[in-house]
Amino acid sequence: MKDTYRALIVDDEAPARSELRFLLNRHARIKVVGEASGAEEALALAENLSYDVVFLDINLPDIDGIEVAARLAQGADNPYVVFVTAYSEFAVRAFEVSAFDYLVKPVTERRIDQTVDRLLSTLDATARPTQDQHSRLERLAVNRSDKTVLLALHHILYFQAEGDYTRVVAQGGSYLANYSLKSLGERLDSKEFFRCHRSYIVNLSHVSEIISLPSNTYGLQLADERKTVLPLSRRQTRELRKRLEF
Amino acid sequence: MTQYQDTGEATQTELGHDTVQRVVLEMPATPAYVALSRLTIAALANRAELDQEVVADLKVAVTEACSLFIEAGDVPREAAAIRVEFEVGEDRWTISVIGPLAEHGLVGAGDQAGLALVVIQALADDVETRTDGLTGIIRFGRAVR
Repeated sequence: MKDTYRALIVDDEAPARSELRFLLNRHARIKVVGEASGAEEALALAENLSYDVVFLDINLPDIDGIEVAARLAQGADNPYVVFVTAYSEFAVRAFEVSAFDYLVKPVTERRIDQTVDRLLSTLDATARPTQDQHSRLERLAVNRSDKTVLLALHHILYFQAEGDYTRVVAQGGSYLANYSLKSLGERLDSKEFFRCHRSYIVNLSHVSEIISLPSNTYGLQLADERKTVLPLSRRQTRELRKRLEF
Repeated sequence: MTQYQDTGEATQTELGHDTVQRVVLEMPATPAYVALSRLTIAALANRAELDQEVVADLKVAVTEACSLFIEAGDVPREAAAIRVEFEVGEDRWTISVIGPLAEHGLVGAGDQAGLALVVIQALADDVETRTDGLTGIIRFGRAVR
């Protein structure tokens, strides 16, 4: 099982691609990695990107979308194909090339949610563990005085970048770890830990409130004794919204 | 039967040195039509060649604003309308979402409303909320360059 699955969007209409990207971006485990406006562009993109699913329009200007699906199926990734089209009459042909699903435009939030839920279940059942999962941290070794302490991750409140090092703030004390914030972030479970700002990763289970700060910015208040407030960057607000599903 | 209405109000005004195009969308206050506000942003943004991150922020904010009125309105859904006004400048966009309110107003609609406003405020540069009887206005601006 992977944390996220990678998706391509192929549609010749830019607003349609944009709307589909918006609908897919509401799902924390789907990451749109590329868009193409035509078949040739899609096939070129598919050769150069690793991906798990393609959302494919049928009425493309150069090559028929069903033909594109057949060609993609011969590639190394052999992705799941979800057809997205304004016409329902292609459905039978689409399923002949093993379509995972067939969505008729305009695609509603509820319909895409159904497709994504089913897709994630299928992908989770078939995907092999990634290298990231093998190396995922369960406890963190930090140095304090002359001894090495093994911290359980659920005791950690947040991580703060300090140059090439990271300040680890946990219940009961803070420590300096010999990792960069970026490398730590890659080894943490993204369901529990969230990069709320370029200098901070927070343990979401310790966040009690989202609070307003001066200059129209927001912060995450923790449930610790000091009521620590960490900044929430604008860029990460959308991501947090997905993560908390509010 | 007219399900939604593009009022065709596209006008141009001068604000300082920035030419502002005004586009208005009026639609039923039901979830199925919220996508129209996002599609309008996508189409306008495509013309203006905006950065995808900015477009994504604007779409989330307008979706939250429309949803607030859909959640808050007490009037029958079929009769209620949401009006979305886009003021599209070279460097800055302002979007006003006008819709029906419940008697308790917008912010009183519960935690969901509070969180939605947090999201809008975080994504926009400035946000203004006003009420006029049973009509509410959420107006937010965002630098786009």
